[in-house]
Amino acid sequence: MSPIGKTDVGMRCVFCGMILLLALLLLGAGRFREDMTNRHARALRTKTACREAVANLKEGIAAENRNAWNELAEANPELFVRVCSVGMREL
Amino acid sequence: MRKFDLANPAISLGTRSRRLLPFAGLLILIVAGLLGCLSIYSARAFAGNPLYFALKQLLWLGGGVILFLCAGVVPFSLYRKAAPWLFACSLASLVLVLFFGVEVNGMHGWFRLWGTLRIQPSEFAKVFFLLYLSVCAGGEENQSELRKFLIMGGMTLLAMLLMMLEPDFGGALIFFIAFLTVAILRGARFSHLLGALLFLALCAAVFVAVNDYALIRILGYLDPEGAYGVDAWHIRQFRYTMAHGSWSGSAWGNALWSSAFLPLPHTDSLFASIVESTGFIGGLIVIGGFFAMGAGFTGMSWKIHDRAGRMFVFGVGAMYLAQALIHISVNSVLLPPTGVTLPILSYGGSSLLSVMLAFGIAFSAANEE
Amino acid sequence: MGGTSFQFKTLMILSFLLIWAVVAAAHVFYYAVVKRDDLLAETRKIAWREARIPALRGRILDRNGVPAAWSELRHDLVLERLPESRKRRESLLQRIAQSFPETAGKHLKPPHVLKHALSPEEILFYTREFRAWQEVVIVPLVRRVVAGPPEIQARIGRTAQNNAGETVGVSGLEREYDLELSGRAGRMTVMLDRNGNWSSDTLRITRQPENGHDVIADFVLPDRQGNDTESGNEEI
Repeated sequence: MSPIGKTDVGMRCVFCGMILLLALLLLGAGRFREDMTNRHARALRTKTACREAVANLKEGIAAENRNAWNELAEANPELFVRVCSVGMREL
Repeated sequence: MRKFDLANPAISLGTRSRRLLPFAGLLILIVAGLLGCLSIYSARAFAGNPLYFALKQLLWLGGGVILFLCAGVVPFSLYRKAAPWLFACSLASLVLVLFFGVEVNGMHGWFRLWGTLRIQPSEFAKVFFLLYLSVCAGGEENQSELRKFLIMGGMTLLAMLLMMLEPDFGGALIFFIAFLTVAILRGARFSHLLGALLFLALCAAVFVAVNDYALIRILGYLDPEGAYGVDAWHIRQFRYTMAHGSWSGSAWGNALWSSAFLPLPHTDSLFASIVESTGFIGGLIVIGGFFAMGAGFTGMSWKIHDRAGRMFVFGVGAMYLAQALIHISVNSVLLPPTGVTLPILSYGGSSLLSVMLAFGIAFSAANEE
Repeated sequence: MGGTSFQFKTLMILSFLLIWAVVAAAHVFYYAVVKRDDLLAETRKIAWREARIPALRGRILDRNGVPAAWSELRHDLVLERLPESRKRRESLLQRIAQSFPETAGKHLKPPHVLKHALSPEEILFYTREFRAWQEVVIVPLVRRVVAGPPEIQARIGRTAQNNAGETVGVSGLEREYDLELSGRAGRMTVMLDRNGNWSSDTLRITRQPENGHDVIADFVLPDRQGNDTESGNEEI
C-alpha cells in the first residue's frame, strides 16, 4: 500500500490544510479559554471594587433605606455605581 | 458509473486518494465550521447571548455534515438530470418568498418555517443555479454559441431580477459571478462577456435608482466625512473594528468594538470582527484559507473529464471564493456595504447548509467516472 | 473545450481572484496596522467615558458627638430630554404616563423630575423599567443638611461647588475645616455602545472614593426640634 503523499500531491495539500485548520482551532480554543478565565476574574474584581464604592456612600443614605441599600447594592453593585456616578466626560 | 460509495468505499473507489478526498474535505469543513462557531461567539461576546448563536450554528454544522454526506452519495448523473427541475423549483421559491416570505434586516428573503426557524431560499438557489448553468454549458454542442449564451444569460437575468426585488443586490451579484465563471469556461466570446458586464452595470444602475438606501450607501462610501457621513456609520465601524485588531488581535472572545458598535457582527460583518479578535495575521489566514479552498476546487476540477462536472466543481470553488472576497472587501472598506455572508464561517443555517450541499455535489462530481 | 484550455481558463479566473484577495488583504493591513493609532484615538473619543463617583463630605459633630451637619445622598428620576423623532417621543410619553398617571396629557418640559427621593428598590425598578429610554435617567444628588438653631447654623457655615464640581466650605466651620471635611471623589471609566448604553464588562473603577473625616465642634446642640435645614448647595 503506497503512502498517500507519494501518490497524490493534492491530497498532501488537503491534509496540510486540515492540520493547519486544526492547529488554528486548538490555538483559538486555548486563547479563548484563557481569555474567558481572565474575563471572569476581571469581572469579579470590578464587582468587588463597585461594592466597595457603593458601600462608601451608604452613610449618606436615609436611615430607613440603609438596609435595603446594603442588600440591593451588594447584589447589583455595577448598577448602583452607575446611578451614583456624575460628570461623565470624554476620556 | 460512480467511484465513490460511502457504504462500501473499499470496492467502489479506484484510487486511495479519491477514496479519502471526500472525508478529508469533510474534516476540513467541520474544522472550518467550528472556527466559524468560535468567531460567532467572539463577535457577540459582549453583546449578550453569545452562546445562543454559537451553539445554534453548531447544530447547523451537524445538519450540514449529514447533508454533505447525503449529497456526496447521490451520483452526479442524477444531479445532471434533475438540474433543470431543481433550478425551476429554486426560481419558484424565489418568487414565492416575495409574497409569503418574512422581512429580516430590510430584506424580504426568508420563509418562516416553525417558531424562530427560518430558511433563505436564495442560498440554495445559488447552488442549483450553478448546477443548471454547468449542465447547460457542458451539454450538447449542436446549439450555436450565442444561443446558448443567451439562454444562460436569460436565466441569470431572471434569478438576478428576483434577488433584486427582495432587495438583495449582493445576492444577485453572486448569481452573476456564477454565470460569468461558467460562461468563461464555456468559451464565450469576449464581446459577449463585455455585453454581460455592461448589462450588470445597467442592473446596478436600475437597482440604485429604485432603492434610495443603496444610493445613500454609495455616497457615504465615496465620502464618509461628507454630507452622507451619517449613513456611512457602518463603514466607519468596519475601520474602527479592524483598528482594534492590529497585528495579532485582542484575543478570541474579546471583540469589544464588534459587540458594541458593529452592526450584525456575527453575519454580514463577521470578517471585521475576526480581524478584531485575531488581528491582521488572522485576517490574512482567513483570506488565505478561502483562496486555498478555491485553488483546491480548481485542482479537483482538472482531474474530472465530464464537462458539466468540472465546470460545476470549479464553479463552486470560484463562486464561494468570490462571495468570501465580496464579504471581505465590504468589511475592509474596499466595496460599499452590501449584505453578503462569509461562507462556512458566518452565522446562518441556510448559508451553511447550502455550502455543505454544494460541496457534497462537487465531491459527487469529482468521484464520477 | 480541451483539458489545457480549461486549465488555462481556470487559472486565469483564479489569478483574478488572487489579485482581488491581495488588494483586500492590503486594505485590511492599512486599517488594522497603518491607520490604527488615528482610528483608535477616534474610538476613544466616541465610546470611552470617565465619570466621578462622589465622596461624602465629613460630618460636623457637636461636643457630644451629635451630628450638626452631614451629607445626604438621594436619587431622583428625571426626564432629561425628549427624543427627536415624533414616534419615539410619543411612545416615551405614553410609557411615562403608564408609570406616572398624573403626567398623562400634560406637556412635560425637560428636565422634569418624575419622582423625587427614590428608595433603593425604586432605583432598581425604574432602571429596569426605562432601560430602553436613555432620556429618562436617575440623577444622584448630595445635599448638605445642617441642624440646630440659626446661630449654630451660622457658625457651621455653608458649602458650595467649585468649577471642578467639588464641594468646598465657603464660610464658618465648613471653610475652617475644609481640608479635613473634604473627601476625594472616585473615578471610573466605561465604554458606551452605539445606543449610549454602558457596555457590560467595560466598567473599571480607577480610583475609589474616599469620604471626608468628621470634625468635632466646640458647641453643644440643643435638643432636636426638627429645625434641620438643607444648606441648599448640592454637591453634584
